[in-house]
Amino acid sequence: MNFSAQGKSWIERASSKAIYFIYLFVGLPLVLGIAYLLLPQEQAGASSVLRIEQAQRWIEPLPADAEFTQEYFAKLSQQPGNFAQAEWQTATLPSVVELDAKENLGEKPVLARAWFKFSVKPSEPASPSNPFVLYGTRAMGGPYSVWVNGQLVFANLDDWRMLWNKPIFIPIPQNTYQAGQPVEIMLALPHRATLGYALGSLYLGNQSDLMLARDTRFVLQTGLPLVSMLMIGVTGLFSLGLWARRRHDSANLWLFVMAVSLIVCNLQFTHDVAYSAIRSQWFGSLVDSAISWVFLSFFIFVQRYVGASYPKITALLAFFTALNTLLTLPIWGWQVHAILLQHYILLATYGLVMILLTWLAVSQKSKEAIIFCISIWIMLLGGLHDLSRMTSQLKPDAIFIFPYGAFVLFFVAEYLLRRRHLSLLSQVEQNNANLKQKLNEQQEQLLNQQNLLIQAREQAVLLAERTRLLRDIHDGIGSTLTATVIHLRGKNASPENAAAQVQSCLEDIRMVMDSIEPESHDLPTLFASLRRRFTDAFVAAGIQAHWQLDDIEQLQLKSSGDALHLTRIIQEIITNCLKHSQAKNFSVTTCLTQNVESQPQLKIEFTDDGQGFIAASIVAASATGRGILNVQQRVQKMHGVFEIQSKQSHGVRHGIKLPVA
Amino acid sequence: MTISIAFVDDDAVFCEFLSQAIQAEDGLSLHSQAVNLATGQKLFQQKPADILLVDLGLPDGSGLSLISQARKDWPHCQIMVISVFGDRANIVAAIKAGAAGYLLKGMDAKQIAQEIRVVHQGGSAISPEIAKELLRYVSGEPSGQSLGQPEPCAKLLLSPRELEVLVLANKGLTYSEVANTMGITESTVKSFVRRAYQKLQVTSKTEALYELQRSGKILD
Repeated sequence: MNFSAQGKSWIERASSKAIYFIYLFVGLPLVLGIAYLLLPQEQAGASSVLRIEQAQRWIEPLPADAEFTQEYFAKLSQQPGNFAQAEWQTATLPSVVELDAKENLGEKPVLARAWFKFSVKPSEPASPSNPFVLYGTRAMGGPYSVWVNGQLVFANLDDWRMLWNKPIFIPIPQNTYQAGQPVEIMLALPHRATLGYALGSLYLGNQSDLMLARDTRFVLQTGLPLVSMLMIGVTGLFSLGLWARRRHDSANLWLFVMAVSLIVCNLQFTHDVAYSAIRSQWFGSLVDSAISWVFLSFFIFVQRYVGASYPKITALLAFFTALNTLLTLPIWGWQVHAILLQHYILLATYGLVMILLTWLAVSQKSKEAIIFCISIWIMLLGGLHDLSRMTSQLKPDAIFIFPYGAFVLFFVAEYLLRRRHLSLLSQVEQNNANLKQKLNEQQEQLLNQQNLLIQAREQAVLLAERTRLLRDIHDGIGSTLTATVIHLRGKNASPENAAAQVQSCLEDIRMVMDSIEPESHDLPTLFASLRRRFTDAFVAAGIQAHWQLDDIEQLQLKSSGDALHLTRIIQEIITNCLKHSQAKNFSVTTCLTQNVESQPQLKIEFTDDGQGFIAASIVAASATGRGILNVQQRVQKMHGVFEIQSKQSHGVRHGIKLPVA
Repeated sequence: MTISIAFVDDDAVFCEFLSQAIQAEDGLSLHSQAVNLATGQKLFQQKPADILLVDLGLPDGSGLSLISQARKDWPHCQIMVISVFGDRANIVAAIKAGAAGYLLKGMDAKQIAQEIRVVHQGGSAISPEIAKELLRYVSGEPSGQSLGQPEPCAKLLLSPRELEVLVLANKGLTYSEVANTMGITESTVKSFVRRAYQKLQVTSKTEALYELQRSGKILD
């Protein structure tokens, strides 16, 4: 598939590239840079802020009936430790006991409480509006409590399950210390013995000096992830709306699924929505499994968007995701431990998949696919960072990078949607332009064809006319002049006869010329012309001519060439009658009938009351015989029927039946 | 009182024959002759002839212009057109221009003299095809040529008798047959034909004027 955009102006290309660069190479490092620049060295400059380098640590084992519940911790926080039996050791801060990925879990967790003790000597008393504050990056393991000079000053269990992702910010009440006197501060951190704990860097200073650090940390650990959830949520809803209208465009659906998974996944960093231990476990497993859903749905989204399909890999990942979700449900006993393991396996699996996808994207040179791969690599690297430093409790001062993956995915999704939107728009414009052009071309073609048709018709008409004229000339004038030449060369050549024959030729030509118009071959004029021509000849021969022409007013012959045939036929018959019949009367009658197939038919009859002839003598090679044969041929050419009847002394009757229109 | 005849034709053989025929016939006299359009136009500088015979196919132009000029310069002269075949298209064009009749080059001297006398007496000859054409003008149909544009035509208004003559002529009846059918003389038949021709001339002149006006060549 080719995703490269064509025909963009240089501004568009530059601006799309610019956004690409801004997103990936400016925005993200900016965020990461802020995170890393600001936090670990916080407030190194302010002189009133004291960094607590070391503390005395004692890990107090808790009795066997200890439970990891809010009720137990509420009681526990009221009880100071049995310090008489404490064994204090020096520990540097941050102090961690790493979370072991491999150790198994028994039925009931064994709890312990880590005590950190240190004393400071504030130089001047703080004012009530700007008290001293104990500030720490975070405390992971359980809900901590703080004692100052033996008094409990903090044991707040509100949202205690999220304390691992919130900074420690405990104001030191003024009534717990005196200026100039050393202040002993203790922090108790209960935790599961096998899972260890992590306590980040601790600072003591004025509230005004440490507020910025706390707020920055809040924004980076809680605020921005919330914003990212909102942004990806909006994108997801938009995609869902798109998919609802175009069901076949399933890429949008999977973007929505991915958005939902990301929101669920990122919830773990901002809220603990469960208020009971059981629901909390379920919630915990859900948000952890959500990470694998994010990857799976993103993978499917990429396939749908790009149009490629890797069903086997998808099935494998889906199976793995389902297995992962199942195995980390809190119905099994090893649930808590499997979380860390699961993450590493997840990372490894998706790492392999990403290598494959990246290779495919690069080999296809698809810009979108490469952007996809970069964003997933960022998320994987963020996940790796978080796992190795955070989830493992190795570096409590750092922040979780993984939730920021939602920003990356948001920008990528927005870029893709916008790109598709714009390309669709330009496609539509292109299509419209193409259609318009095609329409114009077709119109031109149609006009051309029309012209060609008109020309062809005219040519056909011309050709038909020419053919007809040639035939007319050949049959009429040609044969008459030939007869004239032969006559003149003969012994009995008479100028008068020759002149009459030539005059008859002129008359023929006149008829041809008058017949130039195709519509002029109507039957009445045809008969009239012949009648007019032969009237004087009949009179001279003493024959009475009777013309009874019925039904022929609106009739037309089937083709224009038929008029010539009919004229010659009638000429021949009349000439025969004039020459040989010695009749007193000659009559021509017409009437319209139907043939056996119910087609209209014109019946013409020529009758004379002359001497007639014997049929046999007609067949003889006489001029009359040839003439009758000619008539027969012509009638046949007109698809008609010709019959001739004669009896000696009883005249001749010619009957012609012609098809008409 | 002899009939003075002028003729314009470029066919030397026919001209010779014609002048001999005229001189041989009593009652006909040769007025003048010309061989082309240019010399033909000069004829009108002389005093008028009774009959003018014009050949349409002159070498330097169509004889139709001579016909129209004769109508103006020699108003009482009757014009006949000389035609080889007597084909309808040429004859009707000549009639529209103002001709009263036609001669065929194939006619013998007697026939020519006869036709001239008929025209001199106010009659005109007709054929079934010519009658057909005039009937088309009566019904207002355009006399379309096969491949060209139909000519503009106005309706030709004829009296019932004139119309009847045309209809019978179109049926192929001879003059005597028409006369018998209508109960009139042959010369009356021929004068009806002449009247029809004159009306056609008027109608076609009006039509031509109308066309010129429409195309803007004449301002109202």
